[in-house]
Amino acid sequence: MSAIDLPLLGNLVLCAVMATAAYSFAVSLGAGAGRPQLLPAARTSALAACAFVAVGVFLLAYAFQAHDFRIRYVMRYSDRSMPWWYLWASLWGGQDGSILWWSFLLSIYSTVCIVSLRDRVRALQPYIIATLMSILLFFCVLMLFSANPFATVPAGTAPDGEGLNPLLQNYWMMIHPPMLYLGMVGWSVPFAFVVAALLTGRLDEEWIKASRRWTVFAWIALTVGNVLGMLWSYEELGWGGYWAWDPVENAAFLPLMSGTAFLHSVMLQERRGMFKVWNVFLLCLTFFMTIFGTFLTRSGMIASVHSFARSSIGIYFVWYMVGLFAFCAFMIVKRLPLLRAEHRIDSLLSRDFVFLLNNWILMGMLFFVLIATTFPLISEALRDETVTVGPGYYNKWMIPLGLILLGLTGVGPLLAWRKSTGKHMGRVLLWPSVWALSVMVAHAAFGSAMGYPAYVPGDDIYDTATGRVLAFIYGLSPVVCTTLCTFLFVGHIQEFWRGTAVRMRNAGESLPVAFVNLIARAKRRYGGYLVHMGLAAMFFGFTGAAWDTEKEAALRPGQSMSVGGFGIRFDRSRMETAPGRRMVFTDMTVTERGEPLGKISPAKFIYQKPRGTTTTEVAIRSTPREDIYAIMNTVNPASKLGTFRIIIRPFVMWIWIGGLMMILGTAVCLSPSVREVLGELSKPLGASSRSPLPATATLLLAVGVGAAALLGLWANRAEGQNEGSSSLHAGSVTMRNPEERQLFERLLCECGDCQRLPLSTCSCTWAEDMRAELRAEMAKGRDLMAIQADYRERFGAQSIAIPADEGLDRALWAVPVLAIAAALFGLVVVGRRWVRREGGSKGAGAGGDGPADASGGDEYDDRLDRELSRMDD
Amino acid sequence: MDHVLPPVFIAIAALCLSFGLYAIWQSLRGLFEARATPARVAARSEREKLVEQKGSLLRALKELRFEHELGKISDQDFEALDARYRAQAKKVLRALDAQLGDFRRQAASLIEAELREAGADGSSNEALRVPASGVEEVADAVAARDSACPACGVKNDADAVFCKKCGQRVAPDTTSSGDAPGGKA
Repeated sequence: MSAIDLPLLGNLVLCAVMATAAYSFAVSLGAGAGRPQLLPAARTSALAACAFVAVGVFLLAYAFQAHDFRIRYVMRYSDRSMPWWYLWASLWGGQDGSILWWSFLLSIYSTVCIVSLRDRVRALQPYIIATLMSILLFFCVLMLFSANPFATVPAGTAPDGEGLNPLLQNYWMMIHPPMLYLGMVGWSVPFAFVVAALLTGRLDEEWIKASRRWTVFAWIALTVGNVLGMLWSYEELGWGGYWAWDPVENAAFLPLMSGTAFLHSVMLQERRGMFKVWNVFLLCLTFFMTIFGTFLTRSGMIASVHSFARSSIGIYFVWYMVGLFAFCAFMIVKRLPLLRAEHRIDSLLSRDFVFLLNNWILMGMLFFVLIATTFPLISEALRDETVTVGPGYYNKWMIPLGLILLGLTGVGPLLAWRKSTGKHMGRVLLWPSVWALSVMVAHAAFGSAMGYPAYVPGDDIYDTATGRVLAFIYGLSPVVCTTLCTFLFVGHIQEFWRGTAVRMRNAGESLPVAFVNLIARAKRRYGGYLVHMGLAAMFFGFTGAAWDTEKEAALRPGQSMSVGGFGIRFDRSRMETAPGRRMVFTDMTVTERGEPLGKISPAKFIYQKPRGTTTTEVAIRSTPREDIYAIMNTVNPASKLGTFRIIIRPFVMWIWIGGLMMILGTAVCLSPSVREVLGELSKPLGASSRSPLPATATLLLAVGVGAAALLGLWANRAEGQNEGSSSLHAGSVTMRNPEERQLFERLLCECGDCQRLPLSTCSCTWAEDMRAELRAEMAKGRDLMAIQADYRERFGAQSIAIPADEGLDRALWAVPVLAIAAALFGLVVVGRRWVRREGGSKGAGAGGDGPADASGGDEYDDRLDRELSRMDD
Repeated sequence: MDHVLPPVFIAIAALCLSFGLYAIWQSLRGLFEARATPARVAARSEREKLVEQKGSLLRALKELRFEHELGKISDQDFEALDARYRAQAKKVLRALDAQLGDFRRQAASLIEAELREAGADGSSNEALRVPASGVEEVADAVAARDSACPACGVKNDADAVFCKKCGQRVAPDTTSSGDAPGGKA
């Protein structure tokens, strides 16, 4: 044990962070309020605060490596047997440390932001620094008063720690949480810019331009964080899916929706000066959602697999969110006169209007998920009845919304800005439509024969007309999705092709040169298109889930099972040991038409700490066509009889490919031009509004982290799943038929101990008995809905995973659906008015400009042409 | 690795600590040594707004042209929209020029005055018609004027009224010279 009094030192450092951040906050406010000479002092003091946070992080990291079990956090989340990389990952493995880690990332962002701003946007800088420091202050308060990572163990030093949860002891823990945090924290910087713009009243394009790259970077980090979360869930939790609509997943999903909406609507402000209020609101909302998400994760208010124990931290977040909301609302209202803009649209048949629709559907999705996530709380407050909103609900409702988004994404880029002419639009839409329709027809005709039927009957989640409509949409979703994906893909390829053709014609360039120049001159546009195509690939991957084939069987070594055209042979089981755990592998051979394709080895790991913890290690054989997902439920050490669950799920790999395409597209957007990199370095500081340094850094970071993370997955696969991980709750339940699964997925375990998992996954004895009882009921031929109603009668509304379509529960879907419909109606009405206004002002404008044109037309025309030819992007 | 990392982490922490302390020191020094500079950051001027408007109009024109070439928009619509955005862009350019107009006139009259004072040959009409390239020569001429303070010899700006070192009047006074005798009388 080290001689330094680490807990004391750590606390001192935290106090220093708080004092410095407060000082920096005050000085920057002074610099903003008429004393610009204080700006350098504010900048350096902010850097000092960031440096102190780093001191705290490295002290804690040292405490982990030196096994200083005087510190409670170290004692709870590590032990002596852990290798150094897990000791490092323990920094964010628990509540207290993750708050410190959050502050650390915020410090890194702040440092890079302050350093890269240098002399630019001097009017905004003081308030940018003040905002960043105020966020840091909040996290300092959290650490010092509620979640102190340097708190000591009251009972004295323990000989060994309790160890990190085995669920977290895998390489995902190294990548996924930091990336997601990077995405969540990243929105602080654009938020700081918008607050500065609001406070100074400089609400024109300045702040948008200055914060653009930060926004895009935060967006891609959040996206990659979400995709990695899906990968983690798919590979490690071992329940066979990638997204369970868990409150914490939703928490990461919400800011992604509002952030995406912002990225799109901000383009309208750049072009037309429209939606200034809306953009400010969206950015504030996105930041608010990141805080709200952290609150959901950290407070344990809503039951979730991710959440830590209920703690006092929640109340701090509530007050912070109240303050944040009041501040943002006040500032926006105060600045309304400055934010007012004349809204004009040339035509409803334009990309501009599709952008509005895109905002509409994204906000609709956000609202939908937000209501569903918080519904348990709302219900508890309103009628003192706890309800649960399970994944089945989201899966059914989000499909139509997602498909609308996919359709809009496909159509938007094909339309012209401002106005599309009917005849010409037909020409643009021709090929994508032809392709989409042929794929649709082909899918409908041959899909079933190939194992990918166009219509997949789904179960009704409600026993009402709504339930049947949803089931119908769900059933149609495969063919709709393939059609829309084709449309999007062909449409975007056509955009690339047409642009290249124009360049080849106009500039006389060869095909590759024209293609590269096309992208280089409009990086944001074509980078965005790449992201869209990634989205299409993802949706294609999601659709694969509709064609799942699943089978469970008990096999002895040498026996085979066949599932979805593949043969799976159980070869043998073997035991291996590693420090802290024993591992039981079951080697299996995959065959297709008798030809062996490869080996997979699902496993169970038994950990020493916490005692007897078992994790299920799935084995996945992944190809672009399908994934073979093998779970070993049990294997009897004496008889060697193993029970297995095999899922064949088509096209999963396309989700990860889509993620990579999104990273690539964003990298194109962010990449600095050659002129920026070379030209700027020789220029004096502050000469340009764009700096190549942060851009290059973000580019490298985005590409490096994202690609390493995703490629790491494949490398890991190749190793044959010996170093994977885990789930505490998966794979040990055997289903006999799909009806059973459908029922058990909707009923929650009510033993009071396990985190109220569905009966389809919970493996406790209570659940086992309950399943036996319900099976007996089903054997009597009772209707599933009746059994569900009985269950609800016995255990209350909270025991059902999908709230019923009646009473107040109906509000769960009715409120968002009505809101979404009303918003669409409103948008069309308002849009038409804007178009009419445009028509009126057109006549007036032409009349007013006529004479002036005649007088000085030529000179100004020439100047315009000169300026146009100089423009790049 | 297990033996390397702890000292490395401590070293990094120490490094960050010293940087933090240094930055605080710098910041405090800056705080107390900072002189009040009157250079307040100006509010967003009308001109900046116009420049911004110009930017978005130029982008609009550029995009219109590109999309017309892509064949997404008919010739007729293109011409109508192009004409409209051109007209708007020209209006903005004209407004920008109009703002500069005042400065141009001011500059011209200053030049005229300087030329007259320096005894440059040629009438005021000619001076007014100084071409753009001639402005620099005139400016050089102005700078070359002897602006040294008659009392202490410090060089002052060309338009200085009082010496920046000793406060002695350096510019010929037109108002007070007339007033002072009147006051005495």
